Amino acid sequence: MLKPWIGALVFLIFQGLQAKTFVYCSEGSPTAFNPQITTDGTSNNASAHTVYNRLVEFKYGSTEIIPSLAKSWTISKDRKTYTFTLRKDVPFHKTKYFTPSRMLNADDVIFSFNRQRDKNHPFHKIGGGRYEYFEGMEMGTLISGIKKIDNHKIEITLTKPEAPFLANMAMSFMSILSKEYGDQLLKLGTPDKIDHRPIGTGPFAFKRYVKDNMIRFTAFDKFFEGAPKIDQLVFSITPDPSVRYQKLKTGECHLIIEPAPADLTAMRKNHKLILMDGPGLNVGYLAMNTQKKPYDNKLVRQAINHALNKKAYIDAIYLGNAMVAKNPLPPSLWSYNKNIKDYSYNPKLAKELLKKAGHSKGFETEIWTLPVTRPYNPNGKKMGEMMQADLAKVGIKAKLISYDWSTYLKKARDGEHHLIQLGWTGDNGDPDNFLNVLLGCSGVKAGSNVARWCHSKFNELIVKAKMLTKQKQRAALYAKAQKIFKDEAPWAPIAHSIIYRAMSDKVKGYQIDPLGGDIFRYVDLK
Amino acid sequence: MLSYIAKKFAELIPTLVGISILSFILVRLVPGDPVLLLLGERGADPKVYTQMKKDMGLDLPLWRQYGRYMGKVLKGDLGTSIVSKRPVADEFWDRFPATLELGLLAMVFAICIGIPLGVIAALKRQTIWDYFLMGISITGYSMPIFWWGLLLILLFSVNLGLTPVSGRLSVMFDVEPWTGFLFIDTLTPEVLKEEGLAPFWSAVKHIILPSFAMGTIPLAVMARMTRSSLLEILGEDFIRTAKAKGLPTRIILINHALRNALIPIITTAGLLFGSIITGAILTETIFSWPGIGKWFVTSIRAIDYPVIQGGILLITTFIVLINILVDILYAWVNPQMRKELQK
Repeated sequence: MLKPWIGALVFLIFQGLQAKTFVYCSEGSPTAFNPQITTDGTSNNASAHTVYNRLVEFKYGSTEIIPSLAKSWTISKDRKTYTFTLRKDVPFHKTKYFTPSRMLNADDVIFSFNRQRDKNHPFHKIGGGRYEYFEGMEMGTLISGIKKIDNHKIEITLTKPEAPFLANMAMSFMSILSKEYGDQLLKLGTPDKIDHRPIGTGPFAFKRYVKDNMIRFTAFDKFFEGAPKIDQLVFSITPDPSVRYQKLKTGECHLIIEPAPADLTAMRKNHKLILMDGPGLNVGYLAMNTQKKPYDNKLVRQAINHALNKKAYIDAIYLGNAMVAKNPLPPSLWSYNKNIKDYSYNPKLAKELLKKAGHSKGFETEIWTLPVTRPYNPNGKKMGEMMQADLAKVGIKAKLISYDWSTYLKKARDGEHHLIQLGWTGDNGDPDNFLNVLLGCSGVKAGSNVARWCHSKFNELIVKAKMLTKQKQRAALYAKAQKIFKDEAPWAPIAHSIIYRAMSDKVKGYQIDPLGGDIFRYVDLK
Repeated sequence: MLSYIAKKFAELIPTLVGISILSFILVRLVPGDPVLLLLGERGADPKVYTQMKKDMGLDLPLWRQYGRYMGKVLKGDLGTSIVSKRPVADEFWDRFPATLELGLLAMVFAICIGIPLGVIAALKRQTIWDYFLMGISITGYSMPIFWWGLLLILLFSVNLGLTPVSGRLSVMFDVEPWTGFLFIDTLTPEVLKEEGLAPFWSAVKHIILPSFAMGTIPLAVMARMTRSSLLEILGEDFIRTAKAKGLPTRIILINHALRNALIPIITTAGLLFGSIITGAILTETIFSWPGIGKWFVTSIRAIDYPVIQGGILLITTFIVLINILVDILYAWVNPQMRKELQK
């Protein structure tokens, strides 16, 4: 009578030993399983880093660009033509809903890029027809043509030389989808499935998504860089950080995203857990509207920099989980200028500078406080209060103002603010992605340059750096640009926050991704 | 009786039209712009921004937007989510079973424990039992769910290891979401053949803590309601008559007192169920329960117009249906109403 039960039990235990299931407790639900149409990190983790690959990718744990689906590439002398040679041994996933008949070739690459580029592409309008990243990175106007040279060679021509192009190619939205799968879906009349039941070449094949609950992947044993060491990957969606921590303690998760700052001390003491940290690719700052009085005066901007006690903000608002920022770039990014000297916290000097600027009695102003929680600024209101107190010490009377998030962004774009808290998390590990987007003249109109600072010398440097391909030459220009930034002081850079991941001591081979993603291609369980 | 039910259903139509207008206007009163929220810190060229607004039909005057929306609704199309770009109805049905399953269990739990507790308290009025039970119920009523849920997790999951911390099913089981109700999906022939009853037990274990947490406040309300309603009835003349006739206490209590006391309790239960379903957000967040509460709050943050409007419409329909059901039940337990209906 008991025999079948024991048999089943033994079978289950045996299976349990055999199948390695890695459980990642994530914080939210993906909006779709196609990085072409999504913009958030949660969606990228569930598609770009698991299901898909790109022609070039970021080296695990760094922002260095390495070959992936393209084994090599050449750049023409005028720096406008890129020729990529594809690998010939890259299979697509075989799942319940799709069986590929061929390996990856140039058609897949062209299919994937043209969906975003070409308004007449059969998939362009699917899923809303908006490609925020593709447009945001100006890929549409940058790429003038894509040509198939042979089955494994494609040529991309640009309208102008642009160095960050290669880094853009490594970003999630440039993932390569299967054209064969697309054709099959078109024939079946269900093209919208391409964004929700993905087929890619990546280390994990999509199996099932239960809304807001879990995402299930199986390891792809034919993955071109070698099968992952785990058999199954599960994203268990757990929005509350303290609940994630409890799940980690009971063994229901192996790794959790973003632990609550208050739990960090307890995690460090628990020897069964590993707490990893890494520098975040972000910056939180206070921008000054340089088109408004008195912030059109450099001396006033420098005075504000001297007046703010940034160290105190790090302790009180980030609970110590951040470092004081002096440059607009985070220190993990190449071309970060170490030699820059930060403005010291010195209210007396600030007062002197204000006097020099003709504001010996101080003035009245507004501080806009960030209405949302972001890693680069966890509590805008509290930071605003501290800033208010700091400015009062040098005679500046500041009123705190905040709006809901979208109104905040809109009014900032229209330039209605005086002092405004904002921040940025990098997309592609290229300094251009910070300096040009946030401080370049073109960002004034788009609303990403909220200091509304358009400095001809600075802009000249970063535009020139964008056209060069040699990293060393570019770094030299960016270092100069950071010097101008520091002297002109359109912002008071506040902080770069630290990224945390907590995991069970059974987890091996995980590294923090400086771009903020979670990558499980190399993880294993002891 | 049938005409009574038909009349109740006819009342549904003006309610829904009213709600659709109200939700349409309220959503637009919320300050903010969904397009700007989508763009975030990045911003966009004013040209791109205008195009995006146009694509979503948000550039039209309000009355035309409403006309377009209602036209679609009448054809059974609730629109497409701005964020996920999927039909609102699909998104709703993917999540609603989870909330309903949890809400039903929480309600069963509140009724099955709350009513007996209230009866005991009423019968042992002004004794230590009464004070004790009512003390517990007021504590349960005032317990913030956020704190209570975490406390339950800490005690039962982390310290005692009896139940899982959160989620609906162990990640070891891969069950096809067929109806969305795990109590059904885990008992399909295929699942039973492949994995046996283990997935079902896993689902049961997962639902215990959240339904307990969610049912705590309704339980307290039910207990207090039962107590006061029963006390009132026990003081009535007909109870005294029944006692004088020499009927056994059990019969008096069940047939005469409790049945009459049930009328306000049923109404309260109906209202509570509505608020459980709409107020599921806290429980769902703590226990990572993939229901509509969480979905709703995320959509409101993103000002996802179609989702908020469509979701409110669907939920209102559901609540109105529950109220109709309560009215019918009401008529059934209340002989006076029954007679009036038969006329």
